[in-house]
Amino acid sequence: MKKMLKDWRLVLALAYLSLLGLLGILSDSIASSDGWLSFGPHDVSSQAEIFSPPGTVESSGDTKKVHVLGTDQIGRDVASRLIHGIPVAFAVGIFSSLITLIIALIFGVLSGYVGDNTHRVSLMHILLFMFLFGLLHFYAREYSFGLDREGVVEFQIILYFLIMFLGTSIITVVLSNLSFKKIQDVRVPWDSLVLRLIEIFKSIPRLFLLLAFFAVITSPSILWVVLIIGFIRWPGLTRIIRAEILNLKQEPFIKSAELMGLSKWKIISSHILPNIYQPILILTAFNMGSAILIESSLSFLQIGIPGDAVSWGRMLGDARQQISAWWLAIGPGLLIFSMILCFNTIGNRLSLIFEKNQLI
Amino acid sequence: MIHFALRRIALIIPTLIIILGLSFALRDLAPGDEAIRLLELEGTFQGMSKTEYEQSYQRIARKFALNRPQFYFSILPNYFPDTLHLVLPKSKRFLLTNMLRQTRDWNAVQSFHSSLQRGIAELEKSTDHKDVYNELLKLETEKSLLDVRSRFQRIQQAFGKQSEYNSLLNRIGESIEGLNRAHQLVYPKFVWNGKDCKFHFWIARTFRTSENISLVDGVPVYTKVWRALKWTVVMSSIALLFIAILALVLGVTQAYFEGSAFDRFSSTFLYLLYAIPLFWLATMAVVFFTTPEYGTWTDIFPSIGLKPIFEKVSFWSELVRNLEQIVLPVICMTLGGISYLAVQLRSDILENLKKPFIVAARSKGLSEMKVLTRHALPNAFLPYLTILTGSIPAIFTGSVIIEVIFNIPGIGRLMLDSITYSDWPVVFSILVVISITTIIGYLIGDLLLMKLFPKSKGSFNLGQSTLSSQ
Repeated sequence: MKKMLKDWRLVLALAYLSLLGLLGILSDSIASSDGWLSFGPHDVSSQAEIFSPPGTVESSGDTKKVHVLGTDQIGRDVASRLIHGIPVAFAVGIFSSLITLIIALIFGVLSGYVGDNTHRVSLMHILLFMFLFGLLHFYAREYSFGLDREGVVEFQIILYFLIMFLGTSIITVVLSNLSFKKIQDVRVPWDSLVLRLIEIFKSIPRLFLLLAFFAVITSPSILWVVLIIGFIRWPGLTRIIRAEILNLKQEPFIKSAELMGLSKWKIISSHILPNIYQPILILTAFNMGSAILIESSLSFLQIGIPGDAVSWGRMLGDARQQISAWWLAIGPGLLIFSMILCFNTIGNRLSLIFEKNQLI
Repeated sequence: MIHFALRRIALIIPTLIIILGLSFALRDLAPGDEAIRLLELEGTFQGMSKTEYEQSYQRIARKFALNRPQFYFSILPNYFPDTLHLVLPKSKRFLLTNMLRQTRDWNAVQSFHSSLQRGIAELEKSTDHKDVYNELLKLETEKSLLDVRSRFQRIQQAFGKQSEYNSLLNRIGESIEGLNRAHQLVYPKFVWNGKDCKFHFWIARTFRTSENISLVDGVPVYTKVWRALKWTVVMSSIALLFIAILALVLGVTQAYFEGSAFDRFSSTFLYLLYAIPLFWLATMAVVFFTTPEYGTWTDIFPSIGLKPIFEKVSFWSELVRNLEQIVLPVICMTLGGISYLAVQLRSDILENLKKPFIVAARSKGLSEMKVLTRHALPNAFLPYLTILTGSIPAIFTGSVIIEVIFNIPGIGRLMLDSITYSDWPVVFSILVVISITTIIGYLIGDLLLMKLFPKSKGSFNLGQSTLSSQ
């Protein structure tokens, strides 16, 4: 901790991000029609002129309002929009990298710790699980709890599958304890399965996959962007978590924990996970930066974040209409750049402090 | 060697199948009715009577397998008929399926359907019932039973008093009254469809070029994709070549002058470059270097976009003619991809320089340059080449943005345009084609690495690649 506070680059990056975060939290009071900047992000006042340069004064009666950073192609205040873009960028960065982390942890532990040879499951359990899952899904749909109702949103889809998965697992465990126990054991090659999945994901260029996903979604929202970006980025993190766990498995303390007869869950939760927090922290910092980059690239192409939400990428895309209006392109670009730079710096300095291989 | 190469090639097959399946699933989810687009494309839309229109719809649907079930088998509720997928058009099938799910009574749904059809057929013969006729047609495009009921009520209020429609509307009304939820045991049933399914057709069509046509202009998809792919592959290859050479030069020089002003300056530069969004960099390059907007001395490069061509020329001569147009895009792509590789190469060389065999080489009296190029560099070459081939998809990703900004008719722009026009055959064929291109890129890289480093055995980017992280 002391080491971290001594590192001025790390402290500077954290301070800058906290400042942005503070601005983001206060964005509604700072950048609204009765706030500091006296313009909301969507305000188009009656005398608003399009593409007016920074410092343009708009006066109505006694009050004078200044467009600090000029206006865009339909006369909205750029500064206000920039500030309102902060929460969106943070939301995408933080939540999508959390989703990535969760998926990567599950797959990483499965392929790194459980591996190819240790997990043996009764074939009956697998069949029972699949059968029950299908059956539950069928009846949920029949009695209109299913997904093909109208107005189903992203959140409900996740909840639905979580409930289905948990429900099926519980029923499977209960049923299998009641009746057939040892029928036939098969090896579940978790490691190979995860590696093959990573391979398939690596073969599809990421932006093309994202475009194909978003082409299908009829009602885009920020939540979809967060979910899909979070989902699409799991392979990289999984590989590194897997490698860390494989290294850790060779350590004597894991071996002795196994010999002491600790359960797998106990070993994973109290020996594996606490020992891989460092790479996770580093990679999550990098991930946040690149999630923001992907989101802004998508918005730049006018895909993903819906038009009524503020996104820096979309602002940059709009700026291409009028190349003489430099104030439209500089602001959002600098903000994206500085945010990614800060997240990269945090990851970089952390990896120096933790004495890991530097990633960039 | 041959054994590993064959094994490596065989690994492609399951990957391909899953990519095909994924793009099929996404395409099936895509909104809109493909048959209507294809009909519009034929131009036989206007001035058609309903029956004629339906006939041509049926023909198109049969030709493009739109009247088939999704997969080799389906699992349906027991009250479903086996032939529901034959109902066309798509909107009507959607309505009937919804009604069936709500009532669980196929006979009632069927009688509603047939009475509505008969009513429409009766009204179609004469021209003076157009208003009722149109209202009844709208009934077919509703989404659920509730909507049908409320719309029919409105129709009956408006036209029920006129005696000429009385019996007709009553008949339909009765059949709607009959749509009540039947109480019966519900259980799933398994239906085997064989290879008469959309999935099979779609996989087959992926490899047959003439039947896979764009919904916008009817051109075979692969003609379009191939034309665009050439631009992307040429530009990406040039960029990849520059990235390889520049990163090698930069990494080696940095490692040689470790700690000097040059090293520190270029490291900082690469570090900053890594964080710059490619689209921002490219937009700035376009604004400053292709227009005299900010001073004439910055107007170095020609305006974006390809030069217009008026006669049919081959791709290569078009490329030669547009060589100066792709200079700036290639520079941007190179800048976007170089930093990671250069930084990694530098740190790999420096790591190798700490090893004992370097001390031995130095104590032999070799010059520092020789130590670096003969001993440290070859050992850093394996990760260098792995990262280089591993960055192929990233290059393609970058090319989407570059093509949009620089207005180059590559595959990324084709993808975006096709999404705008909901041209699903093109969109999902591109997904497959670009994945195959990436896989081929990996394959070439892996075979090259296999040749160069026979000891490391096997694949680097695919297959066992991921084992290298141990």
